Amino acid sequence: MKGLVLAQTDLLLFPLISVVLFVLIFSAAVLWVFRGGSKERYERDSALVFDDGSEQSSPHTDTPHTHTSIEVSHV
Amino acid sequence: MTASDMTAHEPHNAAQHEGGAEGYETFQYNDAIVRQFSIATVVWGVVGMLVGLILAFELINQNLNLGYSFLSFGRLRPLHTNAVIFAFVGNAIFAGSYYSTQRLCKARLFSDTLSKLHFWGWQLIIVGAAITLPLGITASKEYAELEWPIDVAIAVVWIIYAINFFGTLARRRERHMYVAIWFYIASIVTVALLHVVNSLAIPVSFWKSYSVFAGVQDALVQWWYGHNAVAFFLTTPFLGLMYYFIPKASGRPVYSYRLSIIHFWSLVFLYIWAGPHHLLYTSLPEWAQTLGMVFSIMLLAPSWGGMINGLLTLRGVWDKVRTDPILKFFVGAVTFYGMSTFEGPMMSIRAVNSLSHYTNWTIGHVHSGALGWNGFLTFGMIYWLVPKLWNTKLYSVKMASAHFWLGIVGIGMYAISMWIAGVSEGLMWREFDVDGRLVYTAWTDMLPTLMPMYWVRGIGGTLYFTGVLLFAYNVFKTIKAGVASETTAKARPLAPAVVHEGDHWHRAWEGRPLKFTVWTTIAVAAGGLFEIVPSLAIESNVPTIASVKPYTALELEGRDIYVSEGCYTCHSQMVRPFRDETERYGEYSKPGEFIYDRPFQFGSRRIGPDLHRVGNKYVGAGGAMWHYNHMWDPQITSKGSIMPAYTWLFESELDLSHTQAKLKTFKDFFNAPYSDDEVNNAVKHAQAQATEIAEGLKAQGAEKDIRAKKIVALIAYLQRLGTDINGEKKEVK
Repeated sequence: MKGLVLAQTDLLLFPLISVVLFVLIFSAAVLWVFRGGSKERYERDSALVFDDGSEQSSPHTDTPHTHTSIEVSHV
Repeated sequence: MTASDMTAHEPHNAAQHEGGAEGYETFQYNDAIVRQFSIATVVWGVVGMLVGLILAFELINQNLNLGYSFLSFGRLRPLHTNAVIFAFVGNAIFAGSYYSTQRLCKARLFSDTLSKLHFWGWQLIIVGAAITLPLGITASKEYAELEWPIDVAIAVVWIIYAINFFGTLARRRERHMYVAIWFYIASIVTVALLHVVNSLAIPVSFWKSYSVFAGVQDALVQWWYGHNAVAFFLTTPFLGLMYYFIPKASGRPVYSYRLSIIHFWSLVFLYIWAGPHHLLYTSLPEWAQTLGMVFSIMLLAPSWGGMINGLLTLRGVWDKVRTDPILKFFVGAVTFYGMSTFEGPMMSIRAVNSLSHYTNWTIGHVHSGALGWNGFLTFGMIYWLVPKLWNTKLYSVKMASAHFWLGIVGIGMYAISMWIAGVSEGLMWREFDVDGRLVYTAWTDMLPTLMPMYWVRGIGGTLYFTGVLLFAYNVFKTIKAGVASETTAKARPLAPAVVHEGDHWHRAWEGRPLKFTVWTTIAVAAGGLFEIVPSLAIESNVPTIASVKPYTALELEGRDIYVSEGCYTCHSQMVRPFRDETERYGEYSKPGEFIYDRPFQFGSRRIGPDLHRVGNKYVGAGGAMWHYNHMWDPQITSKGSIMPAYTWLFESELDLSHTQAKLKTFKDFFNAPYSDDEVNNAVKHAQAQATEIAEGLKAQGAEKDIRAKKIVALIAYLQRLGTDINGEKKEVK
């Protein structure tokens, strides 16, 4: 059955279908990621890295995500 | 399970709720485990790179093994690669991922007990590797050499890591999972998948097993694993570290969070397909080779997307790079990542690969990635972490800067010398004179050209290692001056998910670990399924050859000794279909010739010549005598060779206690057509063949009676190699 299917199928079709699918999915993903109005959300997400309060040098700690404060104790 | 459910079982994790409208919880991060993994990173880094340095000089003077089997190149090389990849880089991944995940999730690690089990289990595995590999206990699959009991231990410890990591995600107080966490998820899932599939084997004793895959299929599975060990152990977790530690060290958020989404999905989807580029022009089916090449070239785009994102994160703070050695290391790391991920796809192009494969070029490529990308990112991260973890300042900024420059010069000398050596030997292998004859007929004719490059590599390696010693000293002094500290933090509990406008598909996954993990698993599994399943399921991929028979009992023992001594680290068993190779070695290799090869021994490097057809070259008692002399002292037969003497094979007793079990395994599990007599009387047959070879050698004037020694089995195997298709070229389906 498997052999019959493979013998009667134009194998070149599979890579062509794959390329079209990959390109479509990739394009859709890029369009979605760079959609308008999302900039602020991404800026907030990227500032998460500073949100443990231990870095005083960062100008990015004052974001809507900042709910944390840190203190260090010796053990 | 909610956060409060989990904390009930873990007193260390118990968060104290504070009253008031704010509703903050106070908790401590588990920094003790990060400290332990950081120290282990430094210690194993010194060990792994020292072994690498010894190996570099063993290629200049083969007598540096001092005649000891456990110091020979073939046995030490897997120790070097395992120590650097799994001990140095592995411990760095655990240190960095545990530090950053806790802070990005605003939660203590899921379990202190699992953290300790993870740390000590992993160190035990490394010690196990450091003992077994020099003893010659190896499965011989590159970067997966460890035998089955240690493989089982790796799987268990990896599951512990996964539970600890995903448990921490489950108890997080931050809804959104930062991009670094995505890369950790991909790494944890994929490494588990790769390790389990590639390590599937049937044990015949406690320290010996045979791969369930054979020949070409074993090669495909191995390089699906091997390439993706580079991808999901050396790359994706480090990209996670890059996305966390570069912003932390520079005080700048990642350049483009949008780009990081594209970077993540394209990288994890494309990487898994690229494995077959390690097998171009071999007996692997051509469709698989083409897939590997095409996906490797496509991989350049996401790789450079990540590199650009990393470098541009430093926009506005480039002035700090001049004075801050940590940023210097990060910039160096990302730059080497960019160079390696440009070089890799180029080397995957068939025409380039026909020249570069099996040469020192590959060694240079690998080391610019390992020393530059992994090494530098680790150094930068440890220099940044240690003062924070011990609540002090770095002992010496100048020393760290000196380390950086020693590293840069060291890698430069290493990579450039290996590139020149690789291109030179690739060209020499294929050089014909005007009469159409090979110019370099003897392998040793080419060594004088390579030797100066081996010296430059050795000096470059010494510089790099000197930098690593400074690093270890600097870290040690910093720790000594500091005091271990625990970080107490406050955060609000995880708020219920609120759906905002536009919060669908990916936006929603970013806050849901399970969904994100499922989609990541689908993305990484796709490549493996489309490449490996057809090659296993469709028989025409490996046409059988009627004249190819399984190894005799003695030959099989000889093959196991070949594997054990790590001969594959210097010799390939794959004659590619090139004129220079068929003239030098003989008929090109066919897929059907390897169906009894468990594991496959194609190799990835030719420090010496290919051996697939060596059985046709040294035939009968005279041929056995050549091997006898060559293994006793390679200078007798090959003046100027850099192969060490294997005198211990003439002293060690040949162990036939598992021979019958080995043949039975091949017959019962792998359908090898052994007769009952061949299995039941395996020892008797092996001894008879050994006696015949030993008697022949005696007649040739050999001084030693080797009939009960390991060397007789190795000679039997070498004389059998590649002889099955003599007189029969027709492939039978």
